Amino acid sequence: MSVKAGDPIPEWLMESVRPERMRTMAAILRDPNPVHWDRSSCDALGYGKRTINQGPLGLSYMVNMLHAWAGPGSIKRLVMTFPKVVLDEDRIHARGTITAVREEDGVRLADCDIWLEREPGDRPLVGTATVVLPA
Amino acid sequence: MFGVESRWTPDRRHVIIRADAADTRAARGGHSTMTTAVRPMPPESEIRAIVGHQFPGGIYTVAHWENFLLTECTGADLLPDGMVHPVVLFHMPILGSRTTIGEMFALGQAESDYSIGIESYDWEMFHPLREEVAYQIGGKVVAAERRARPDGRPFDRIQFQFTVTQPDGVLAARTTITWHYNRQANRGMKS
Repeated sequence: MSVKAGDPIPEWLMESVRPERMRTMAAILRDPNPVHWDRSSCDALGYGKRTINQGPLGLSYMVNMLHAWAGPGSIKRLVMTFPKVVLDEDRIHARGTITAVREEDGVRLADCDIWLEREPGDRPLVGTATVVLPA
Repeated sequence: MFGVESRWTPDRRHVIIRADAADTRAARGGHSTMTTAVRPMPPESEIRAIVGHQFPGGIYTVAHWENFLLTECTGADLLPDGMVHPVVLFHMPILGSRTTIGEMFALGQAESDYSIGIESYDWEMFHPLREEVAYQIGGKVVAAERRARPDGRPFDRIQFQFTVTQPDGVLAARTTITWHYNRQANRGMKS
């Protein structure tokens, strides 16, 4: 794969964040927080009747983007921050750009800025990733 | 786990104390304070004392059904060769080290489930995780300190680190969770 700093990573789209997936995730995570499955609790918080996506699920959209680009098992490190929440029915783009290409122990690595984007400039999740580049 | 504070009342009513997310503040034109009754802020010494606390640790095996459901939740297809979706790195270390999200909240004396804000998740992946492999999990508190936001509101920054080790002893992954335990009580108090 021929890439250089500044290149964009092909985006991955979650067409509509689905509340039933949050409910399944809440059970798997053993996370009792009602904001992930009870719309009335979110309404009381000012989000309207839309449940709040789990942070790791938002992170997973960026994993999917990186896997689609560099292949499963390619991710070496993810560091993620969560400035805003993602809500059910949101249309979310996972996007990124390469910030550096380097070699470490004979392996080509790409350092990347990655983020989720709801609208232009509206980035609920922001982070960095290091990915092994395929030959 | 985000910047909202609330609590369950003794009669199981859910009372919102403060919504702190920027978009919520914008929607409401300020903090959505509904009540001011909160648990007292713990002494800083009690927070610092949890550094080094180790969870019991144990074995965690990701079953196929779990990976199937987990991967479906992400909107992706199953990965090849029994590879587990990396999103497992949130709950697998927590549950595998024999703790829970609730216990981690309690360890830092969280005022409520909603008083926790995420600073960051740092996932280091040295080898792909596979279904039906018995991984050894360890976890501990590596940092805990009191800080204050620019407006004086205190919070405790607590950092947990977990390791996921293959049956042959090779480290497969390391995760670091950094949470903020926001303190509504004694708001603005310097400590």
